[in-house]
Amino acid sequence: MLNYLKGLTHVTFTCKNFPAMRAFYRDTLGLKEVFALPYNEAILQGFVETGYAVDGLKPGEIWIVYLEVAPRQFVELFNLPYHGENDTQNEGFHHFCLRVEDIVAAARELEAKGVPLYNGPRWLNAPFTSPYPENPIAEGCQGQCGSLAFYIQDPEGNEIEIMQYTTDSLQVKCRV
Amino acid sequence: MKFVEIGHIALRAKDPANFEKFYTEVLELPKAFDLTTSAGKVWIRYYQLPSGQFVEVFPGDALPGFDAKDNHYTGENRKCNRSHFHACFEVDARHEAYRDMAKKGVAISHATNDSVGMCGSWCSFITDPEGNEWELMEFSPVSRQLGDQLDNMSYNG
Repeated sequence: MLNYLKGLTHVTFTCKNFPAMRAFYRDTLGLKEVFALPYNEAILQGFVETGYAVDGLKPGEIWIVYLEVAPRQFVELFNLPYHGENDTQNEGFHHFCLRVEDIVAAARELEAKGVPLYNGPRWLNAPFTSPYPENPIAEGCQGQCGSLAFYIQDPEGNEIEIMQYTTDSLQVKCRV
Repeated sequence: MKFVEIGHIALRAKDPANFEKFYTEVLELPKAFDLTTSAGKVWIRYYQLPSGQFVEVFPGDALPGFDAKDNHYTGENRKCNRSHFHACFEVDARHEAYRDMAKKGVAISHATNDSVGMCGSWCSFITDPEGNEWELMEFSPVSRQLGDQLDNMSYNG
């Protein structure tokens, strides 16, 4: 293992609807917005040169916001539209995982905010049609890895797995 | 809602062998465990990071009852056509990372004058064989990501 590589510190998304994404991660998921960085001419030109359309974006406007997941870990949002449809079934990125200590509490909070919960990515078409189980282990909700999880989607359609480890979790048992 | 951590980043691989070579030989991540299909094929493979977090890969085989296309992509994975832009590993010795990547023949871009980015951190970038960009970030004493956590930083210059 490389001795200089420590861990995941952020995941970054570009946004067609930046205000909606910012509101989702800040207000719906409750991540603290820790700082924002502004565009300048060089940054805008750099994106033009790599195939992005920056029409309507000007120096001084927000380029990036950082939202804190945990100490040293963030979701980074770019106020930068992409061209395609963000076909999350047909791209390299599959999903990212936010780990919680109490998945039932997380489910209840999201349900109260009207966020649909899915048993797997949305394209599997398996939404929870009733509240997430109060006793998920007793009700057989552990995945093959032994953990508990459900999926939600952000406003751009990116899949987010909300996961709680259990005493059966391979993620815990495999620690080297 | 309290989150403990970013647990993992999950990626699909068109070329699982080349993908695995990159993550196990370039990034030297140990394989942690596999989740398998009923036919005994790898459904999901977990690679472990020192932090206890994971990179997860879907090599393309599906569980019974599901379509393999769910776990396999045919597109070009162009960054400007998708919302996912990159993910980032924290490093604590950037010059060692630059030397190591160069030695392994992996292109790494970084500021030639060793300046920090607008966020106050040292940023460099590599790309995996599927076209997924990874940032390698080293925090500095002026990193805005750390705020009041500076006592807890590892700083190797």
